[in-house]
Amino acid sequence: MNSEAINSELKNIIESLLIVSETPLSVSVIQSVFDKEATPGPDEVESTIRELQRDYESRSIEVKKTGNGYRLQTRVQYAQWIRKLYASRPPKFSRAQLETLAVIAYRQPVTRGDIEEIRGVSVSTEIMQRLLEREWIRQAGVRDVPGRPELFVTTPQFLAYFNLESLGDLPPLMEQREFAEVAEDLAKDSGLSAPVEALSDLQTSDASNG
Amino acid sequence: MTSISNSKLPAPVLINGETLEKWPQNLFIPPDALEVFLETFQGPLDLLLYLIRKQNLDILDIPVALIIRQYMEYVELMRKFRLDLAAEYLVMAAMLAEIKSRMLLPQLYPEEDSEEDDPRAVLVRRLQVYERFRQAAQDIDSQPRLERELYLVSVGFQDPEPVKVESRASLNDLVVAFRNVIERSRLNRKFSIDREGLTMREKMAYILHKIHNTSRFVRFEEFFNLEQGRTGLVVSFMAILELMRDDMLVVVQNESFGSIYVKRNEQ
Repeated sequence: MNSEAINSELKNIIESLLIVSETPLSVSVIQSVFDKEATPGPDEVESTIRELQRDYESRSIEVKKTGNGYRLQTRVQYAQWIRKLYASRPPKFSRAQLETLAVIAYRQPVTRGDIEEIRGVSVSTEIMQRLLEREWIRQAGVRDVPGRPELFVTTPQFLAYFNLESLGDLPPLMEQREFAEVAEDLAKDSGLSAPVEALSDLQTSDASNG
Repeated sequence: MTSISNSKLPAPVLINGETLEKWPQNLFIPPDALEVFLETFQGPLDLLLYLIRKQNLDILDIPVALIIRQYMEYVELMRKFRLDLAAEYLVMAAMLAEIKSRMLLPQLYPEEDSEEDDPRAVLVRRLQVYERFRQAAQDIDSQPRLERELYLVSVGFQDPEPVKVESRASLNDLVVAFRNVIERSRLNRKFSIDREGLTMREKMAYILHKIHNTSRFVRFEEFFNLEQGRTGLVVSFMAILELMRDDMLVVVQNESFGSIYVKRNEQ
């Protein structure tokens, strides 16, 4: 076999692994399926995956890297049809859950106290429990202060779920602004979220009743 | 509780050069809306951001008396529902009151007009930090994610004929199975004043006899005679453990929490 043929065979092997696997595959896991003397180098595996990604460019699926593994997934724009096929509603997460997750993701490692300081409310055990059950966060040691509070960090499963390659891939935190500027901007901003709008409706109806 | 949102002001009030005859309406959230309110706001910081946004409220000139009266209405209501939440809002109300009172007092050393000395600085900073993370939470929420925008292409590993592994039952599995037997015996309770001599030797002989003529597996439960009561069951269980220790029995369980089977050891 010439080198081109070998390469296309390697591409097919990797593709078949990605199709079958239920979890993202790291380069070293991909390497582990080959006989010792036939094992491709890490660079070769990665360049072959890039080639596979080019092959898929015009297709409905893509090879995505999350954490340190590769997986095969459908593209964002086909979600609406897929969901209809199963008549499924995607799970929603509460603001409390998302805010807690955001603090952990951007400020890790953090204690519950850190999260409470930023959010200005106590963190319920239930919220932490849900994040832990989803395996988006895990405990990573304790902070060396009185009380030795637990420290929390995010996991590769968190990256995988939110389609992120690494933490550096998180949407950037907004710049911290002067407050006068914040207030001005907030006042101009009419894009109130739906529940808040509903609330102001309630106020109006209350006023008219009175 | 009388709602202050509908009452007229005792006298026209001049605020920032404008005359105010009624309390501003939408500064108040009606008590009926409490549940919506609890669902909507993530805490006092969130509520304050909302008030600033809604009222064009100048954080640097908070109408603290108004806000505190409103807060206290909520706190009163919340005490009936969520005491922990009431505490958080109460702290915020106290903080606002402190800021206002410190601002009303003449400054002793006006030349030290640094930002650090401004009683509002701490609150403003916290609001700024909170706002960033509130935004970050929204950003994470709008990130394409599994189960919503993305679906894994994964046919899964399907073995046409899964190999049945004959795995040995652990002591724990045996204990669990035995507990089930005991549980069943409770439904079949019998009182007897006769004392029956139950020896373990006897039981061991009985078990060996039961499996002697067959190389097939016998269900674990079949070694127990529910009529013999708790003592009899315990003796039977001990007999099985004794025979296992002497390597006379093979005890298998093919799946977690599945049935346990026993046969004689042919080696």
